[in-house]
Amino acid sequence: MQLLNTVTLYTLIFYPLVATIFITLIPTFDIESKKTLSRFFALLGFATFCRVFLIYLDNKTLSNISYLIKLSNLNIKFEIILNNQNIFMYGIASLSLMANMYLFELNDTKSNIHQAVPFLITFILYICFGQNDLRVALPILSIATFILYFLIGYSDKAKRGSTIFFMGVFLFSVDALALIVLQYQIMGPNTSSPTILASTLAILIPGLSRLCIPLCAPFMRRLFLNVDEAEGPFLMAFLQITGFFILMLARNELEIIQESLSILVGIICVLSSLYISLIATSNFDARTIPYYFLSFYACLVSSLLFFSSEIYFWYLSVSLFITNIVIFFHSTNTYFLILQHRIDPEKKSMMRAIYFLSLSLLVGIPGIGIGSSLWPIIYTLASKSLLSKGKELLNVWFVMFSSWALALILLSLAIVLSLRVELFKRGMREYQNTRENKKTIGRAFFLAPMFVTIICWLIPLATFLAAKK
Amino acid sequence: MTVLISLVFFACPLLAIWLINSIFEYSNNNKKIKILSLLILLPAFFSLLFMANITINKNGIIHQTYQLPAIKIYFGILLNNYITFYVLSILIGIILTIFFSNQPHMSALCGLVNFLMIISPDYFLLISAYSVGNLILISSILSNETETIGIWNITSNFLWQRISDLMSFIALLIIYINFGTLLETKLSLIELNHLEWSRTLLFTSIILRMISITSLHRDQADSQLNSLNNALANTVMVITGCLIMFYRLSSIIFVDDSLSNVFRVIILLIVLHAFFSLIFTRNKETIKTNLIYLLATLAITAISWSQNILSLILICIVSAFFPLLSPLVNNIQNYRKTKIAIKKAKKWSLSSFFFKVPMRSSYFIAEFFSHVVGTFYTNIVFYRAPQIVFGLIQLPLRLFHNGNLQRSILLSLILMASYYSFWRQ
Repeated sequence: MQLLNTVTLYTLIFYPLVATIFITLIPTFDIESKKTLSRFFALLGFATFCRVFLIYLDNKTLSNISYLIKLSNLNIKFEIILNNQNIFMYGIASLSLMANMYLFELNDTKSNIHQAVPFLITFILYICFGQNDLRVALPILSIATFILYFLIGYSDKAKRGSTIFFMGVFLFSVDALALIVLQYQIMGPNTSSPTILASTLAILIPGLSRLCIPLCAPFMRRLFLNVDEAEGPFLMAFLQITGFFILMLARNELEIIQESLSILVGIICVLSSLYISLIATSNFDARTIPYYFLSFYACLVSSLLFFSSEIYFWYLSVSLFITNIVIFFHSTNTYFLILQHRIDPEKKSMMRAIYFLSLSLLVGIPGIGIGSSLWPIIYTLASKSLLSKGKELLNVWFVMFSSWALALILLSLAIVLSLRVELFKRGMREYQNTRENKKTIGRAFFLAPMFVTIICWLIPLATFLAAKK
Repeated sequence: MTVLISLVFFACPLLAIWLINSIFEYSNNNKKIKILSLLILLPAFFSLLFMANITINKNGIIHQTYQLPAIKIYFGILLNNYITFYVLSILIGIILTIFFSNQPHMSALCGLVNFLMIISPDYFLLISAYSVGNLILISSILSNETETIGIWNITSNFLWQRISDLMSFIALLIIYINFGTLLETKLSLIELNHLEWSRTLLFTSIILRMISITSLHRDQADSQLNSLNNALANTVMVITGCLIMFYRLSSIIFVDDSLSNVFRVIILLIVLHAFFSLIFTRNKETIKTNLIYLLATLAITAISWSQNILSLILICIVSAFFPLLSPLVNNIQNYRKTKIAIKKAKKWSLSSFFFKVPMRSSYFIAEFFSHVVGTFYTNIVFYRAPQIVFGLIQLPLRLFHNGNLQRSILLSLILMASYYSFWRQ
């Protein structure tokens, strides 16, 4: 049985690499074979993860993967350890890979690498998730971002060049700065000192900028507007996962999270969320609304991650993070559906309704969509900081809480405005030509939101079980 | 036995509405489906009669709850002698809608949501059911709607509903943090005098929902038939839902103190508003919306003064008979003439203006922000300013560089050496 568990862990780590090799070996024009194979591997990967998670919940020991390479004086130790934190990262990576393979069909022959890239990126992520040290993981993640620039550069958007330039320069500089700060070991428990606080923040910024918190990522809006409809979601999911992982490692390095740091991160996140909501309101573009919601909840996740040193907050934030990505995939897929059917006037109103229903999963009604993870968080925050005994109601957290609520209402306004603009849009002929296999819209109306809602109920339950363990 | 009957009572309307919703769109006005859904609803009626026997004759309360794992939220049924009548009126409303309306699925759906709201024992589920029902209703209206004005109004209403949602859920959260429960039976035993914030939030959220729907739909009269139908379905759902919410939450909102009197004065002002808007209505279509609004305001007045019988009668009238108004709209023969008359009679309305101002102003703030602050932050602070700084550092190189590569390399080496010596100092 122990051997079987070890094989499962090996399968989980190495299946993306095997998939990359196999997909690359298939000729470029044989799209159907590539599609089938990638779906098979994505499903296999997710099933393997489910098995690993169940083994983990049963308290059975999973042997670690460890290799030591010796080259004269250079010792490279390659080690992967599963713990109660990175197991969720493996889960969301495999889930987003599967969602990408099943929801966004690649029907065009851009290049051979386009089909293999999601697997390659997932493999890089899997290797990084096994690391406990930010000094090891950050350079690998930084270099992996170059693959994204390649994907953006290959799209047909007008401003892709400047997007790559903006994003590349910014991410590369903040990564370099964080690595330099990490080398000097300035980070420490005494975060009340301004120098130490600033250096800690410098280490957090690579994570925050990947989570697309606009104050830390000025390229955000340009990126949203210039990613391809089919490749954008996976690209954003990759950025989000890496950002969250960097923040997780940085959080683990801090022994105690001082209130000054949590307030500072909270203020950055609140300002970012207001920024996002105002930009989304003036944008009018139905395509980018899920992206804005994604970064809005990412702000909340980051703020929550540094709210307190208690491990309970980590579980709350990871639950919101995973739910956010799941609904993001669903809503972007629904927009993809709109693009395919927009030219058909009979189905226009139906498509609008479907898109509305998918976006309404993001407005935060308890029990529906993101609300299943959001309301436990609001309850915890309110009971711990706002209404706890001995604290005044009108403190800094109350102001932040009100700003979050305001930003959420503004995002609802953005949904309203984008739906109205969607009325007057005409069909896009290029999508009509390239995507021949239209998806059926019958199941997309009630069944898909119901399915997503059930997944959203399962995620907090899974995190609750893991936290209990 | 009671558990089994309550399950039947719970499941039958769900099944009937599901049937209507799933099949009706594909078979236009099919009588077989109507009769089938009535047959499915019959067990619900019989179980209601059984329960009415307990609640009315024996003056008891049926209270079946099932707690969710790990969370203190309770599913189940709460019935007393008043709620039994409400349920009866809602079921009658559903049946009348199924039989007489040309587009029954939406109104029947509204009825179902109201049914779930009135029997839910937990306040959190009560408001959640309302919000989810509202979302499903808006999406099903959007799937039929082709008129711009219809979509305009329904989406505006969506925004106000979300604002009210946030208010009411935060209010409930405060109550939950203080008392650890949201069950009506438990909260009715607790003194709630000191929770002014949550009571005010709850009251405001319900009133906001009610006024927003009537104000935003009042100028919908110049739209097509489809929009009018949808508007009525939406109005009935929102208003009946609000009334049920108000009735169920009245034990929290109205306590013997001065704040409750303030609420009562506000309600009287709203009644006046409803009365005048009914008097000054000139066209036939908006009269219906205004009449529902007036009846609803009278019902909340009755609830606020604890006149249970009067409020019961008024809510039953709204919930049972007003869904019937949507088929009446369909029967208008001289629609074109009416439409012209409506266009002439259209007036500027203060209340709809009040609801549109925050939307417009936040949109303009967002425009200003994205054009001025956003551009300044992304394009100037993070793009142009570093470019200028680096340009200044390169300035000597730029001045001397004239295309000769060797000379440029030489100059750059000199510059690097000079920067280095400057940095060392």
